[in-house]
Amino acid sequence: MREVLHIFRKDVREHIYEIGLLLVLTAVWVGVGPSNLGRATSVDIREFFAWLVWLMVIAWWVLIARLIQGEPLTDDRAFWLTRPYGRWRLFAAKALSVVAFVNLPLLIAQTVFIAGAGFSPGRYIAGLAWEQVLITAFLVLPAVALATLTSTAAQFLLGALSVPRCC
Amino acid sequence: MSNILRTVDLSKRYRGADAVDGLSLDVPEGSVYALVGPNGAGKTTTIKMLMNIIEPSSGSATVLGTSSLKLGPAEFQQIGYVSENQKQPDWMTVRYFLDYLKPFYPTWDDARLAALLRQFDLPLERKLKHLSRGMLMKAALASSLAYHPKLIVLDEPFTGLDALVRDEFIEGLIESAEESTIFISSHDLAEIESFATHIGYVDNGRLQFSEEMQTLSARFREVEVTLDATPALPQPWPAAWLRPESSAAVVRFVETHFDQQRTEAEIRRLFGSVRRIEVRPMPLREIFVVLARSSRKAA
Repeated sequence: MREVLHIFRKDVREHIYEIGLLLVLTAVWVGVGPSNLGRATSVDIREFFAWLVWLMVIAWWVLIARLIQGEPLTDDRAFWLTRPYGRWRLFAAKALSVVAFVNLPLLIAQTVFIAGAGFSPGRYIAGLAWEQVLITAFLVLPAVALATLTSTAAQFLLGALSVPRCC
Repeated sequence: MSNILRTVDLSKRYRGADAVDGLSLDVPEGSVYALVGPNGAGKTTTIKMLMNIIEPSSGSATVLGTSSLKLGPAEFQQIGYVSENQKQPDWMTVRYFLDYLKPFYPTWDDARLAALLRQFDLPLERKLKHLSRGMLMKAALASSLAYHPKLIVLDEPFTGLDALVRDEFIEGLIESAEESTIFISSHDLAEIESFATHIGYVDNGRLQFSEEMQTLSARFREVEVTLDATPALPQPWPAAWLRPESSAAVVRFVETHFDQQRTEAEIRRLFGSVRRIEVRPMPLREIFVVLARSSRKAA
């Protein structure tokens, strides 16, 4: 566990700007929020909210790509290959980063939305958890898979743009 | 002396071409083993297989008594690897790089690191991406020597380094040679010659020979034979005599299995009347050039 946290701390330091951007986007998303949206009369705010969602998804993907490509599996020149890294511990450290900076902020944001709408979040735990599963399955894991197969941001972007065409 | 590194029929094929072909070698514990050979000979591929970076197509390698395919954290805690091609985490400062690596190595020695940092004069607050090539190699070496590795593997470490940095680099290595086995691939034969104890010569993916440096130096000689008349090179020419040249009454060649008495007897048998035989030891660089040319000619 110590090694996992050590790699995690290194990743936070390395990707502090991406993480910061993601947290700011999430905070703005919460600030605009569905409850405020309901009261909003301007179409611009609704559009801004929709754009925010897209920006957050892009920020997730960028962060995931950067995290995984920091210690790429596909590059035989990567420094970590000849260092005493346990592969599972490396995987656990990356998973911890994704949970901490993608899943957890989203979960908190949704909890705030529910509470802001006057409901008790405790009653919706199953729904919130299910949504996390769906987000992980359809947004996080494809990004992880793509980042694992590529070793540069350009390759990742190319792959990400090719996915919709293939489908 | 036991072998710290061993390969048996190690091969790697890329799209039908042999990068490494049936390479078998033993590296004794405590030795400084230099793997030399021309560009594209298969040195880097061999090292990558030894370090479990790529899988062999066939054959096997054992490193520190463990199959190369099973090298894991426990073995890498005892291996220091420095390669000219390796990508370092260039966003890190030198200090953070070293601090980051320290917890991975139970035998990390701060005093040893401090001595290396003094010796290499590394700028601790500078990011790796802002270091010169020589500084980067020294940082990589310092990070690989600070934990007293049993085995140090170096892939072309001298490429692109200036003379001063090379000297510092080699000094650092020589100090570690007392407690480690060093496996090094290099083109820089003059540098290798100064501290290697064993040498393996690889060409076209095949190991041409592997032996102690002393034996190699002893068996290669440049021979100049002065005759009474203009010679015709005898046929068949001995296979162990490379690069024959003749001009006027002088014949020159490189004897690859030199033995004072036997070589002289063979010269007299082939040339008959001989006025003078001069024998000159050869530096490693010359031996390497002769072998590379002969092998290219044969190919």
